Amino acid sequence: MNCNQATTLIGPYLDGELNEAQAGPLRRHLLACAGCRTGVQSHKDLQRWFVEAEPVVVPAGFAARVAQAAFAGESRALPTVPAPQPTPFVVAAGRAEDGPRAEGRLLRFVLGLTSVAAAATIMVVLSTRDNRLSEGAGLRADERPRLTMDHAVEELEALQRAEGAGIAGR
Amino acid sequence: MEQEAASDAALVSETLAGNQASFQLLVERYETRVYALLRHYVKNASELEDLAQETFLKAYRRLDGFEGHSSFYTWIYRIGVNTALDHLKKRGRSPFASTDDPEVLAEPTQVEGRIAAPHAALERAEVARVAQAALEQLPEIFRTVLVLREYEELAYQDIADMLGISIGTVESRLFRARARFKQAVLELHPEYGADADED
Repeated sequence: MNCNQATTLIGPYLDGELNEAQAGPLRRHLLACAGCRTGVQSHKDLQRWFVEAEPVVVPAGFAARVAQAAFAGESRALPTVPAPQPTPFVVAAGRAEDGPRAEGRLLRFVLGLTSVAAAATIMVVLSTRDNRLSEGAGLRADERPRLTMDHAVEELEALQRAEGAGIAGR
Repeated sequence: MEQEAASDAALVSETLAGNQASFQLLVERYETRVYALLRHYVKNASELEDLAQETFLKAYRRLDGFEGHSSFYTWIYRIGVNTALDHLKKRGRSPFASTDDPEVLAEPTQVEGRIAAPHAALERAEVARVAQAALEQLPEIFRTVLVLREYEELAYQDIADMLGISIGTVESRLFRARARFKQAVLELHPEYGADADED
């Protein structure tokens, strides 16, 4: 490593930006070169000028004011965080869409949805009815007389009468 | 450190979901650093507050573009630096017009003479004033790398990411910026030369 190369590396070296493969040759050069060691000291002297005059003082309430300004004037504010006084160019512009035109679109959408739902219901009912007729025809379930307690009693009495007449005929 | 980044990411997400308090927390977390950065560009207190506010409002507007690849800290710093430079250009206070490239202009990289370290008797405020006066003599790109490295102590990689340049360019700019800073101090205050000190 020569002095020109070393000079350009002194800054990154003191900043901790060199890896060992770069820093090793520089250190060896510095051990052998008094002029470049002076360069290191010069760099350190320079860095001591960079001091802050005084601690930073942020005005009280700065963050709250900034956050309020951000949300008061931005379209990112969501409906869940409504701005009390929407600004004309952002939020109000969005809400202008929520007027009669938007309501009309909503009504048309609901009516359309209702029509589709009604048509679908009718189709399902018709489809179910056809299936029932066809199945019922095979099984003949709907042609069987309905058995009630009265019918059962009448049938029993008829059987008893027939049985009694038979016995009497013998 | 990682947890801090996660917390920043959470606050960003909550802000994007419409939570004003989360954005306020983000501002509170970084307001001191942003102020410290910006005061290297403007001195007036109200001007400084305006710039800081503009920085955070720009950050808010661009928040959905923050992808978390870099830390929120370097991201907000980049916005702050750009806001400050735009401000100086508007005010016509930049030593170089935007079309000038100080890196290709003839300039010394080796300055005759050395500056001594600030004398122990020199008050801290005076040291800072001398340095600030010298910084103001520099082209903005040199001032910015010096501020980011010497005051904010950012790593070269962070500076490179923030300014959208390579690490090699960061090294080159820092080398030239330090030479220019040294030259400015010696021109403004020859009495702080190392040779003068040794005499």
